[in-house]
Amino acid sequence: MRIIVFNCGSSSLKYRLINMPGETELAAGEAERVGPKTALPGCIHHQAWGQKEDHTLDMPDHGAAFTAVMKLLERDSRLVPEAIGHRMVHGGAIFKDHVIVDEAAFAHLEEVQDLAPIHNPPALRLLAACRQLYPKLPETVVFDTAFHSTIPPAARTYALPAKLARTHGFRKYGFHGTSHQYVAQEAAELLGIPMPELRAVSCHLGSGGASLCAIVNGKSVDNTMGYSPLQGLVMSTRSGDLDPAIALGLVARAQGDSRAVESMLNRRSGLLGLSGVSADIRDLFAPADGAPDETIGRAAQVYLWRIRKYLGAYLLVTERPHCIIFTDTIGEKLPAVRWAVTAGLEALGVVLDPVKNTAGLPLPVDLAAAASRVRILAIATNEEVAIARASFALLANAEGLPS
Amino acid sequence: MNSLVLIPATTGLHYARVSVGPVADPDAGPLGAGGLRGTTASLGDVPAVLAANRDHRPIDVLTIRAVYGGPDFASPIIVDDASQARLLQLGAQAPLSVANTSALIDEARVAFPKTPIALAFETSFFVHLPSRETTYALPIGVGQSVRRWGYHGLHHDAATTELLQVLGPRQRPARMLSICLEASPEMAAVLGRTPLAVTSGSTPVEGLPGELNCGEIDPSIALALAADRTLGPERANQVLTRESGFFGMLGWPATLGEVLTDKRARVARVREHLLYHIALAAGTSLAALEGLDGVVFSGRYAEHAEKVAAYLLPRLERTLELPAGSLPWHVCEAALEMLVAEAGVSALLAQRPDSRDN
Repeated sequence: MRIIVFNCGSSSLKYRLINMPGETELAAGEAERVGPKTALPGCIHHQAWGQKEDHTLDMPDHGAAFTAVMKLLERDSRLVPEAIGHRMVHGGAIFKDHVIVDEAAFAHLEEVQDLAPIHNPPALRLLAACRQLYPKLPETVVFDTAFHSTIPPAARTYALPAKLARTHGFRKYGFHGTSHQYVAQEAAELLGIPMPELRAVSCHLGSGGASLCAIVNGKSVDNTMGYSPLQGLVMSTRSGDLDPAIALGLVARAQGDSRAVESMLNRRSGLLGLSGVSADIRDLFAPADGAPDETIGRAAQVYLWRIRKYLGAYLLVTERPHCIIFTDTIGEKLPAVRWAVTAGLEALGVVLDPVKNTAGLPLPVDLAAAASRVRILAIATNEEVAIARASFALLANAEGLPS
Repeated sequence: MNSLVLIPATTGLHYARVSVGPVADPDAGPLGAGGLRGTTASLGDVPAVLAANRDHRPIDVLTIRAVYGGPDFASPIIVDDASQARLLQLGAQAPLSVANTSALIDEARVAFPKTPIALAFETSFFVHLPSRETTYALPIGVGQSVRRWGYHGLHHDAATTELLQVLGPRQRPARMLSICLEASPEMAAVLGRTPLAVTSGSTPVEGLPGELNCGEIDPSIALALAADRTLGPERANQVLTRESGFFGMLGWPATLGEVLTDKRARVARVREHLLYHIALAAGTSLAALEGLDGVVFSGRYAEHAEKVAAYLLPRLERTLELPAGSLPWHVCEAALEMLVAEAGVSALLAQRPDSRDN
């Protein structure tokens, strides 16, 4: 089954056409500058069968981008999608698992779109366009939050007035679930451990967002992100954890403008806010001019310290896990981060092999020293394949086929 | 030496007459046995209480527990005009705490005009917390005015000092987990005499959930409450500091002691929440300390430390691959009044080194 996976950004549309169950990539690409006109025209970078091509065109909305992508694919009968898999960041409390889209599911999706105001609405608009233009094509939605639906009450509940929490839906949802689940499955296979027995700490360290996930018996039991993706680690532009009194103080300083503060905490804080120069930890480890800088050095230290603290917390929660998994751009490619956050944790059974760590070995790879009780894995995440897997499983199950 | 200890609280001003230091008052005995303690609305009432109790023993120093001392006050002090002025300059950082302390100093000067006044700061223990721990990831200019503090420094200081004695001489600084079981519980990771991490934040609201405070929450929640037209920022602050925690989760007021011991199912769920977050914080401390040599409990609910230990210690031992029951733990029973008094007396002695010979 050829499944096209869409990952919808606010002004972009990434896609990959994957043949399931073999997981072969048939085509891929990205539509950029989707939405209102900008200084440059929209463009689709498309590739199939090893050939790359760029197509310049206006794409006023995600429906237009989708139509254009489908036209590119339909030029070749071997690339015509048989199903669509959508990534949705937030499924709220309604969606504990991924779904095949029908009228009822669509109505519920509309209910949860405000929970992730940047990501959910464009994904929902794309989904609506797909339903309108290709009504016979089966569609699935795979939620980043679904993997975390197993987080137990003690971890997901905030110590807030119960009625207030219910009314506002304040609870930990957790994010990056698709990635955490994918790398956990890969780790289980690599270590020869059945997924239902795997205990792991998954470190999804992206160049933008980042989160850690505690996994026990193959299920998420905690995630550093919370009600929103703002909580937890220091990220590229997000503050991560913050005393609520500071947040309220900032609102008071902003004359009650909560949205301005929310924007600051999401877009101008984190590494960018601390360093004043870059939102990317790679730049902070190696400043362009090569000169040591106290402010930049402190930004990196704060970033690393927060990861290290949560790593310790989840090593305790998972109680002697089989492995720590590093994934996504920073986790996969930056040995210095892996080293800094695991150094000195021998007492917790964690010993990184310094040679393997910096050798640039192909992924997946075990970077732990022989003496390390906890294996330290670097695994390339592949959210699109994870979405294709989940979609295929849903559709096969609905048709009574083996998945 | 004798200290009249003053501890401002939401229910009034707690006072206690405590005998500590090298010259013990033979009449005082253990705290509360021969001493005087109570709660009053105004410090001005205390001289009358002393007189009514025919307690004419001298008070060497009057010691006020000050929650916040900022970076300037790394140890207890004897108040003079200059130090009070320095304290007032911290008003922007902790308006309520500084205003309360300063007002109490003024009141004490009137009620006990000839008695030295000392301040024992809860934050002193955390003045030198590493910047990687104190720093919030906020934009330059916004984040410089706030930092993480601990707010039970007197307990942590005393408790880790006791644990060091229990652990005995060591070749390297002891790695200690200090858990203060107060209404707003707090955990600190302490290496030797140096704290490396603490659960509280810029205010005591952040960190572990308490009797009234929410503890760690997603900052988006605070913003959502502030944006809620029925609440707004001030009311949101009230909700998070006075109506959350155990009270908010249960719907009725409950002390930390009750949460740790009550058998009702609803309380058990809150207890599980608290213990889980204590375990999380303990894990962060393991990473900060690179291991662990012992755990110490303190605070007014330290008598229930066993309930926390029963949950936490097996997890710590499994994580560290230690034999079951091998991780040392200790309960520091020192009452806050005693710790405040000791701080006041030490400040007095530091100012008058000759008095050590008495």
